[in-house]
Amino acid sequence: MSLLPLFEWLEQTGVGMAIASSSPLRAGIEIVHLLGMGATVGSVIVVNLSLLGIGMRRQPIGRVSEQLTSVTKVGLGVSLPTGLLLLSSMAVSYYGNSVFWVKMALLGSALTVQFTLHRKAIRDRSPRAPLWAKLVACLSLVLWISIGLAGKWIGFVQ
Amino acid sequence: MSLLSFCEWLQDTPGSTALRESILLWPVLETVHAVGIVLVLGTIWTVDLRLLGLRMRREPVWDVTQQLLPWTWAGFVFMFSTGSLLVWSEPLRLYNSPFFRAKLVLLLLAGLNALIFHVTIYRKVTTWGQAPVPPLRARIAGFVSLITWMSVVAAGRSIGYGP
Repeated sequence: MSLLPLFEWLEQTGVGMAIASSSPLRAGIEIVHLLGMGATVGSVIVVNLSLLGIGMRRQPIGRVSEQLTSVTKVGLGVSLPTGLLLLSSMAVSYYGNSVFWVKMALLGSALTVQFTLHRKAIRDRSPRAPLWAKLVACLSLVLWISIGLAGKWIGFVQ
Repeated sequence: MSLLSFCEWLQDTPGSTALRESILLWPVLETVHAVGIVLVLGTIWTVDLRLLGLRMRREPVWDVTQQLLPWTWAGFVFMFSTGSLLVWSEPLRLYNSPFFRAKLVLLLLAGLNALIFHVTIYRKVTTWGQAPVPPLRARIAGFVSLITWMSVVAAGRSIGYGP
């Protein structure tokens, strides 16, 4: 089944049409979306610097991550709903944009890694993170930063 | 020479034209600029949350600042070098953009806030840095920093929407 009807419906909703017709509203939502992403990616970066032993290394990784995971989640709580709002304002054009789908694939991968492998890595109690945990940190960094890049690139492709 | 005529001269330099017309370089610059900003935000907001006594309360304040500051500077290097090139690519439009002006003022405020914090209350950080909740002046500095950097992002994104 194609997702196109869903995207067409999304664009026809009252919310989607309201955002599409107001440039200041769209700009405002996009700014909140960016701030949410900033909190998510920013906190992920600090935790991963700690995991890699190149930032916040005097603290055990668990003490850094337990404090910052909530910031990551707040960031997601802001960026995901606002992202859906932005999508609804021009869903059909996003449907035809290959970079949008790359971003969604990256987002799916990043979330999966974050709540499986990464969660396991930050729970490791060794004083210095083992190699596999450092590789997970690198993977997490690459995925989250790529989401930002893909998001920026959506506009350049249209 | 006025600032406006300087911008006009800058816009007419071959480098500016090349940057403006480059299909690939411009998006790459914007992208690296954004990565630099996220590095700055991630490290500065972590320090701000510590100063506000909201996160990392068990770690001494100096431990957080010392370990994250090198990464903040690294972010600044990316942010300012690519930012300068982006300004070079369209100085006239930015000269006339109220949001770009606001962004510069906000960056100045963020710098001033950090400077005042470092030369005043941070000098005595060994006396208060281990308390879970820092004294009021440190909390104010953290709050101002958090809000100012959010506003920098807002102003920066608005440049693309505005006149």
